[in-house]
Amino acid sequence: MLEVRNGGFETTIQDYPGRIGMLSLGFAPAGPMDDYAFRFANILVGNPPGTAGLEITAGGLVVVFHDERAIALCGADMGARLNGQAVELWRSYLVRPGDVLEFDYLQGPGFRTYLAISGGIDVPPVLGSRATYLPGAIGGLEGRKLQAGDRLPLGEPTLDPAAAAGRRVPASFVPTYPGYNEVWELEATRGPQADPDYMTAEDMAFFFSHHWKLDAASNRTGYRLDIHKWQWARESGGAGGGHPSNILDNGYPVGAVNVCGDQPIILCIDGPTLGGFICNAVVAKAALWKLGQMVPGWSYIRFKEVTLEEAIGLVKQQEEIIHESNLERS
Amino acid sequence: MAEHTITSPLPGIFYRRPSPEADPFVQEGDKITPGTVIGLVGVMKTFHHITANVTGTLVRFLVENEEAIRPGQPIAVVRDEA
Amino acid sequence: MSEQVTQPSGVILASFPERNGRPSVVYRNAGDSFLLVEFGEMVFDLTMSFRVLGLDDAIKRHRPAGLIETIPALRSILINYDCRQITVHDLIDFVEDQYEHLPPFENLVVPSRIVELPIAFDDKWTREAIARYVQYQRADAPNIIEGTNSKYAALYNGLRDEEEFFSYIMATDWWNAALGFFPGLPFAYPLDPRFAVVLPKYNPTRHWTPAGTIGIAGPCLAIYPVESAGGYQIFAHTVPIYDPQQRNPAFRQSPVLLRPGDRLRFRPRVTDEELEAMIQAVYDGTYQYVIDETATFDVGAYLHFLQDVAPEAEAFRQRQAEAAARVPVP
Repeated sequence: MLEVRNGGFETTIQDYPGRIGMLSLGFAPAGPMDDYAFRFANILVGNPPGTAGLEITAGGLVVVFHDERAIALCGADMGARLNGQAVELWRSYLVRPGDVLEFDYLQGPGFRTYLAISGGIDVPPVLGSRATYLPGAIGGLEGRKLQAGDRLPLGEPTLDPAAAAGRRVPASFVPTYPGYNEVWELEATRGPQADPDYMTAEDMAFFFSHHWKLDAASNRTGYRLDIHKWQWARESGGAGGGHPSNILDNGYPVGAVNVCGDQPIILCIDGPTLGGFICNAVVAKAALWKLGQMVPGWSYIRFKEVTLEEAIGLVKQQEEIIHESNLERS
Repeated sequence: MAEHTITSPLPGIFYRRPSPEADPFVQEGDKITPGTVIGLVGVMKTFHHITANVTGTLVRFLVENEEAIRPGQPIAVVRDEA
Repeated sequence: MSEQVTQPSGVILASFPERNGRPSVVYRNAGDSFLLVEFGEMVFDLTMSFRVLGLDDAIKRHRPAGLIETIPALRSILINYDCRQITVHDLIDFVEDQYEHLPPFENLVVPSRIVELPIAFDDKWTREAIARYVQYQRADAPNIIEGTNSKYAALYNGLRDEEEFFSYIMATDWWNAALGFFPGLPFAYPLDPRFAVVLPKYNPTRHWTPAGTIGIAGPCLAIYPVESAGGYQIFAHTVPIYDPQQRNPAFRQSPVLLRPGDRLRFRPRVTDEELEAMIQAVYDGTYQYVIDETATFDVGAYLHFLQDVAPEAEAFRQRQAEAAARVPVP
């Protein structure tokens, strides 16, 4: 059992790849915003990479362990301390009953940290997943973020916690996050409604070169970018509506850049599944993790165009990196 | 008499007022006590109070209304009168 | 045979013209995990939904390895696939094969449940949402007359008064072409064109709409499954269509009541007090939703019906167009 003393700013239970198979009923998959850090944290403690763990946003979480377990933290530096001792990111530790893990607030770049515990968090799956989906108020613990007093059941580890502790992700696989006011390069393909039929070639050239500021009002649902006066390749949205960004409603890919009037919004893993605005680009699946570490109100994004083949190559490359055989003994 | 700073634990946008039409939570020169709300940080479509941690006078704000702030950034200076 | 066209930007992966009475198809790139399949032109044609749902059903029944799930909409299907298991070109070939082998449109008989929902018009919840909009967002919105959208809806459609507008809502069945945006939100269209009302959207969008509110924008009717922002003109309230806590037998299988291809029928008309008691009974588990689980929809018979009522439908369309031209848009 894991006892929550302070839920922090926004801590949720997530698993990967989240709630699959429900898009046609309007459920986004949910899951970790940074699946790269999330999966590595699980592998470090000897779990399958998708096992339920905690997504800690901006810090403030305090938990107490009641069992012997291996744990790992991957992601942003929140000055975490285990019984008062600093905890390194991207490596596994052994915890014992009574140990207290505390997070301060963000100490540098990045926005989210993942806590994996050997055996995983064993809340009952809802519609096939333990991922918390806040807009639908389901999954995780009662469909909500964690708060003081919550007690989370843990699963049985498959690996001896002592054996899983003391491993680390090699430095070459630990990402460096761009700092405040710095630019993230985000791989993306053109989307279903780009040029030449919806936007002009100039619109798309601007899209792939501009440094887009991430608005502070961005969350797991959508990442809002700057307003821009697009040229558009058509006068109106026809049957979809008056504005050229309107279309007859269709399904939205996870990670799509949804242009609502003048504003592009990246649809994140809790985002809308269907709607009537164009999607001019789609973030590569292997790059979605970067969204999880951008800081709302501070980060900039430059979309780097990749072909479909290149995007698929990135997925395969990432699969090879996030693998237990790559871990080191520390 | 000593000067303290009030910091924000969160990144986001700093607001001195509860809503655009409302009066500021506090003015420079106002007396404050622990728990007095001096502003809000807006991030991820949620708003969090920034509160004082000492008794004293809020001497001056170090950031403008609606300015982006970093975690740990000093927001205001307080002179304690203990 | 196939007329595969690849644009320089790679947005359109393949396109096929109309063949043997089957509408044209365009396959649009939607990233490394999604493929958008789009049928015909961007015009509002409800009959397209029958083809889409027929094809969607065939795709699911013959699902190849790597096809994860689909999001059918009015004239499109968004397919979620695993690029490590199937290439986009094999996926296109698979969908084309299913499309070729769909039975003739006129012979399609598709499963389509009939779901009866009680309805309270000009109810207190809707009035509250509109009152807040007037107070906090826009006091001079032309779509709000005496605290409601219903009088405006009647004017905009050339109807005598709000009572006639309400009678139109109850006179037709509503075809649920898709679910999405929020969990369980139906996008439903009128099956009887003689009663097909149309309405413009709010401007600006409403910040708050209570769960259970019924609204219309364009020809589309939506029921808000959760409390949310919204842009549709609102005029009625019904029982819950989403319950994450699954408190009623109707939600035992899934927290979402409705499915694509359902027909919604609004009856009986109830007062606010009666509806309030029904909502309470839903959560007590005692309310019985009226759902004909085994009903089917005969497309051929429906096409005949459309022919029979075409003159009356055209007369209403003209009356609407003349009325709408005299009414200010929000």
